[in-house]
Amino acid sequence: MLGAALAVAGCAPDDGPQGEDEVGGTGDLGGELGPGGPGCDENWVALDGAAPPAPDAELPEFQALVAGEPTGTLDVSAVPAAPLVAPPPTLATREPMTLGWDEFVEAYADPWPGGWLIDGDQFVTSQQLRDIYQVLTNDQESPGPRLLAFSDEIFDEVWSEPRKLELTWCVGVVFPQPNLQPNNDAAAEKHQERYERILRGMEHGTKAWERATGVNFVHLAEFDDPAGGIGSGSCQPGQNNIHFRVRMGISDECAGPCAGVTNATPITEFDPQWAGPDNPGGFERELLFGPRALDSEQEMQITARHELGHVLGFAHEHLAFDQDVCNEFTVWRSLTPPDPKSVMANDTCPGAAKDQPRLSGFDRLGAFYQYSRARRNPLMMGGASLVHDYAYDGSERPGIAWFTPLDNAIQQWTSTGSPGQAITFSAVERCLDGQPPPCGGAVETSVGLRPSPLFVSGTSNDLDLLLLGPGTGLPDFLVTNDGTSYSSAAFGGPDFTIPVIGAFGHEIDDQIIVYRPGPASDSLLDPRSGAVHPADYADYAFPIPARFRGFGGGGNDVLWYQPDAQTIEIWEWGQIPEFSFERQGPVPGQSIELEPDVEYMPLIGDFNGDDRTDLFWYAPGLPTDWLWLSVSPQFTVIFDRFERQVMSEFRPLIGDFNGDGIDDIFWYAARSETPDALSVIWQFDEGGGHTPRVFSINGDYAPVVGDFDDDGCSDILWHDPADPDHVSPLWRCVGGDAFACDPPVEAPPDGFPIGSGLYG
Amino acid sequence: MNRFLSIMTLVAVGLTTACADDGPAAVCEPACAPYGPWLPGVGECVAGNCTPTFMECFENTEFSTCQAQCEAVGSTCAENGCADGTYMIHSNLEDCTNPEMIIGGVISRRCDEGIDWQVNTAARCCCEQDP
Repeated sequence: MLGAALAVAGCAPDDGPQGEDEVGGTGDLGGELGPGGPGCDENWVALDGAAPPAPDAELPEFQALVAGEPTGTLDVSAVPAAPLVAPPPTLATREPMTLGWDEFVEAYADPWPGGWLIDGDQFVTSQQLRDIYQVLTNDQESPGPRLLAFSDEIFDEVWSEPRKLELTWCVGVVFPQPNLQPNNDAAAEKHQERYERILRGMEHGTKAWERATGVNFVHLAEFDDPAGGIGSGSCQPGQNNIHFRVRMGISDECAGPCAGVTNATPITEFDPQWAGPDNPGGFERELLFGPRALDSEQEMQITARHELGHVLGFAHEHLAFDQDVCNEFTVWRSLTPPDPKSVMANDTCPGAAKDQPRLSGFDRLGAFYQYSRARRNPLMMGGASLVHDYAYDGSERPGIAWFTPLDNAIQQWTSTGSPGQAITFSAVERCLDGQPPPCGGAVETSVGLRPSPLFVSGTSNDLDLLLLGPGTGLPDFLVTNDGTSYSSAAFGGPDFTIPVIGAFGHEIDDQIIVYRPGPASDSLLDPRSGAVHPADYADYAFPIPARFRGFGGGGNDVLWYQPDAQTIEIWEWGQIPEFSFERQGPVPGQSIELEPDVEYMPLIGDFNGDDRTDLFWYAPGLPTDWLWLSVSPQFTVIFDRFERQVMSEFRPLIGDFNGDGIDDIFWYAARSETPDALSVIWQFDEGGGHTPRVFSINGDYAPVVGDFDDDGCSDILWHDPADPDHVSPLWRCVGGDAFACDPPVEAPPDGFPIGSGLYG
Repeated sequence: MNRFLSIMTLVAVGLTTACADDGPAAVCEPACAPYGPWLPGVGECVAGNCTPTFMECFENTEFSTCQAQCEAVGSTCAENGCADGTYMIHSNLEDCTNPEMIIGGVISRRCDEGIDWQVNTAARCCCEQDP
């Protein structure tokens, strides 16, 4: 990586792109293309193989939405609605607690570095514990800002957009330590066995949550020091970009029935009391395993998933369903129905499923709601807009919008190179409030916003942004972009919504289904007219917009995949009246050969090049995967289904990686996580068959796929959030059968590439 | 279009006979039940016989195979006999019987194989027209 850093030093300023900075190198590629050529390092090896924009539209109604004109605020809250999220039954019916504060603490909480543990291993800060107490005692005195997702309040406890791609960790002390018992072979063997078990637990646990959320856990193995001391080893949280440490609990920290515990929860992210480069003595974020997990493969696999769920901000699920053994109290907002199969339910509690080292369907769905972001799918819309990628500056050139909430800004990149040349970007900073830089605004608000690209004004070449702040404590914004400036307007609507973005009308501009999972009513909002239409989905499901019927059948379809019952329902959008649709289903999983309790990732792309969206149901591991090729005519959605088998755990990327007009799947696996893992591209053909291209990729990246050089073939920016210099390698597709390693680019510090993430 | 549907109903109850093929003029007496210009060759008169055609609409609660459905209307299932398909799938019965939505998804399957409804609830099977 040193070579990459040097390469970028000459072409980008140290403090990131400013103004009209150029990002990326000019790249004299000479005759050496492909991995091994200029700009490449030893990171990867290829093992084989190698229209006019949409017309501007008059938007008189939408122009009323500019800031300062509150009457133009889009308000979908007028739609009749059930309560947004039903409070947990125990909270709704409970009597106010009568314990005093000291008695409450004595009865329910144990001190822990940085805060308290309640209900076994549920970490809360002191402020959170105070807030919980006040909720339980119905204390009407204002507790001040509430800091976690109570049943009715304020905002959700999740990692910010930049941090969720940079959840770095390493392994600290593991006992017995061979250096303390130099002649004890059994101790050395035990030490190694436990260390390797931690690695396996973390590897599978982090991958499982990554597949559900799009977050990126990064194992900084170079700092692993299981034989080192807690205070003196190389794995020190807050230093060397290490976010949290994984180690064995010592003595009473985690022993006996304790399998694991963590205080590395999102509530700590911006608290200066926690360890960081400027505060090495602060509270340390840690995930501890006890001997119960360290000495059992099954326990480790369960515990790692459970504790990593806490790391992502999820509470105990056994508090949500009826049982009277473990039900101390609950104040958490429910994301899904009560779920006895959840890995977040202690399986010692009545009703909880036992010994399941996997995420349940509702675990994955709740995590998806919290961390994955809606987006327009440019590959899907390219058939009409001629822009197969995100574009922001009004030209047809693809770009990347980096969300930098700590600066209240977007770093807007636009590619400038021509086909056949090294990829370069121009960069400009735009403020979230539409004002010129330097950007102002409340950082504490910006870090809670969830960005999505969509097309609601101008053309598809100057995409707009939806910035949702979930909860009553955060505002929502719609930022319209005319290619040269932003205009920010309030976006009124129910709280804690899951937006579903797609083109559901006659044109290719986008609408938003304001989806509130569960029985609460939902609606479709057309930003251009401000009109709201009923569009109610009453279950809990993954919403997946697609063009199963191509461009002849009206708007996007929506596939609703309910992962607990394994059912699907499809909404087929019609022509007349506009925004009308037919509901098809739900149909049970067995009728479409989806197996119960199997994890499926529904990947969408046009895998045979017929302009109709297909589905690849990726089931990591042994279960059968399914390729569903759409053979849908104009008024019906129907698929030909084919069995496939993908055995390993991958992060799938969708793009056209050989420029043949047919989408492919890049099955990405980082060797830094799994040493023997290989990555492979499935290059699909017109019949839905595929040719594999195998790669070896070492690093753990958060890739961004786009045709940045505009040659019809997808390139990959291997965003490396954990790199101290923010340097990201860049693969440029060359000739449809190889990649050139262009000079790496320097990504904005603490930036999140909008529109990337799960399935991206 | 209504005339077309009526003919199909007549076919379904077995009131037609084999046609005569007059070569290029292709006059058949009595008439076959061509599915229409959207699917050329389906149900038309060829070499003195009516080719199989997509019969009347039915719902997924009525039949699970085309073999059963065709037998129920006094005919025989023609495997992949209509535009290379054995049945035509529609979102629902209303769409299936809507003349403006006459073309559904043409699916190739064995006659005795269960109809792959997926999210759909109506279909037409490809059956022989000759008694």
